[in-house]
Amino acid sequence: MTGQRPDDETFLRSHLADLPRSIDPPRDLWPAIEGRLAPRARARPRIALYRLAAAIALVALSSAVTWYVARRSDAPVAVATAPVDRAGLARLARAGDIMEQGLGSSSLAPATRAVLARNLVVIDSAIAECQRALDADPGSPVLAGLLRAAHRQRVEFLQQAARLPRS
Amino acid sequence: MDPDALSLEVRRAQAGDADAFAALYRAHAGRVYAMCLRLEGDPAAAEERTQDVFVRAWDRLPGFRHESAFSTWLHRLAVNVVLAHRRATWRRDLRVAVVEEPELLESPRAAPDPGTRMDLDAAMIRLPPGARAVFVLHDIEGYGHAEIAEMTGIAEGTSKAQLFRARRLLRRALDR
Repeated sequence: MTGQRPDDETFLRSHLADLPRSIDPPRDLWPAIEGRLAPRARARPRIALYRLAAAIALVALSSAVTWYVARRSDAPVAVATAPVDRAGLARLARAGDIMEQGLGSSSLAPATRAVLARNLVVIDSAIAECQRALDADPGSPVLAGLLRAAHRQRVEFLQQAARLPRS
Repeated sequence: MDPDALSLEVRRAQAGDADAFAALYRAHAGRVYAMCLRLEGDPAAAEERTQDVFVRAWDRLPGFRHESAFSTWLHRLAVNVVLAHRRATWRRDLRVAVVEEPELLESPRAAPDPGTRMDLDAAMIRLPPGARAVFVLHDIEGYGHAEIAEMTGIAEGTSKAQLFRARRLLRRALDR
């Protein structure tokens, strides 16, 4: 019985499957890359942004403490009893996404943009933490409230950022 | 690096944190270098292009809007960096009449050591640059002919012909 020869594409498929997708460079290229990186502008951030960052940190801390107490304490804790409004959470998240995309194309000064990015890291970390906790305990109104508060912080922060003067 | 950690590193790097950018380099250098090596066909040139890619990424990162995965954005940037560097050479090579050129894989310089079975990477390096570029972009990196045509400035039909040619030459090299 004579087998039919596979076409070139079929023939190469097994070779392609074995091909490593990643190959480490023969030496560490980072020192050379680091030496070529242009320094980013680090102008003094605006006082208003510092105050806002401090407020965000405070909210994140108090949210974490509230959540911890609510989880660990045997004592009764006053909690919201409204059902988890997932659609509302999604709307808040989407509003923040749209605002962040709008900021991405605006002509803010590089230093201001850097401050915004750093603070969004803080807020996004809080949102991710609350979301993970809510995923583990989907019916928790406390966690839903914390997540909603974190999303609101993001929206308010982005609203303030949108009002900053453009360069 | 898990997606959450990666997203944080990207945002930190966008804010000017070089340590975060170093972490992104460590996570992605292997894939970027592999693509540069296959497109350039030369380790020293691949090292240079890899450096160029990450320097360009640092410059462009503030404009990254998280509309796609960072790895996708970086990879497309890497392709553009290599293509921009090689454009003049490749355009000439990509536009030449496509003919069967098995002798290109049979020159004394290209011959593998006796008794050594050639692997795909070794065979690819011996391809003509234009055929190699299309093969790497299409069969390895997953770009379509329309995208390749847009990136390289050749016609889609030429891209298809170069791919056919590359596969034919590779098969001859590997099927011995």
